[in-house]
Amino acid sequence: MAKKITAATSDVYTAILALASLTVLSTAVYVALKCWMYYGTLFSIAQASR
Amino acid sequence: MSTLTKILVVLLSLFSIFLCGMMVAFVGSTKNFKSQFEEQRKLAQYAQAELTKKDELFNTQAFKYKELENRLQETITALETDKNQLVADLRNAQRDSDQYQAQADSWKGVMTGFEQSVRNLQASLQQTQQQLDTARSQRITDQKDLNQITAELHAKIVQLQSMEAERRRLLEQKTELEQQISTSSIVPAREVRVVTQPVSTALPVSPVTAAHDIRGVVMDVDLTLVQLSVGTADGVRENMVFHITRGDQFLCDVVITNVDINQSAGVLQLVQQRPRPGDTASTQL
Repeated sequence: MAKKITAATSDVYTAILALASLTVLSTAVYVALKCWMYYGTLFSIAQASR
Repeated sequence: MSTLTKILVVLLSLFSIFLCGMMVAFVGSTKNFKSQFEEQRKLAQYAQAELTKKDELFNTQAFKYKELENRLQETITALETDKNQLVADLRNAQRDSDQYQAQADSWKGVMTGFEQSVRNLQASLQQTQQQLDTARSQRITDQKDLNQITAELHAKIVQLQSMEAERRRLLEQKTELEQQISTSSIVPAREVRVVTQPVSTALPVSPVTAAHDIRGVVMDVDLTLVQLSVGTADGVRENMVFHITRGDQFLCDVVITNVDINQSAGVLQLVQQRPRPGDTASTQL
């Protein structure tokens, strides 16, 4: 069987995916910082301090 | 890369970017609920503490108010008792006032009658006073006339007594002359006596001192003159004072104004009672 060579026909789509990934990453970092600063936890429900 | 893959890549990117934008906007606008919860919990604790304090204060005030209510209730009870007593006193006072008012009205009527009686008595008193004034003026006039008549009477009495003494002296001379005439038939006619010679037989034998008690009786009583049964023969002289008595009762004094041999006359003084003939006269009580 002949090996099919894949080549990027255009870098536009790659840039779009990179931009989307960067946006999602930035958003996740932002939300994590906010949760940590406000409640002191990332994945559990905040508890009332004694 | 097929066309469908390309479309899915573009859509996935767009949706990811849109979703991330929404997430950032939502998280950015979200408040810090934990800190707000802590604040609200502190506020709740503070409010709870305040509520406890207020409850204690309320209980304290309620206790005080209860005590105050009890005291006020006792005060109200005492005041109610006083009020009832005062109402009873007021009724008694009103009853007494009505009674006194009735008495005052009756006394007013009595006083009106008394005033009328007093007016009548004053009118009669004025009339009597006028009559008394008239009687006094009449008495003064009568007293003047009486004094004048008394003086004239005294003069007449003195004249009468002097004439009586003269008559007695003449009687004695007559008696002596008769004796001389009777003896002249025996005695020679040379022994002739003077007819006008005064007779000394009326003189007392011995002078009576003033300290000697002279006693006699009242012979006659006139208006102001008294005739006594003692005279110069008993030692009576003019201005001598005799005390007239009846038993142990003093009647009056008599100042001798005229003296005869065996009787005398005088005027009354210090008259307690009118003397009568037969009363005792003496110079010493």
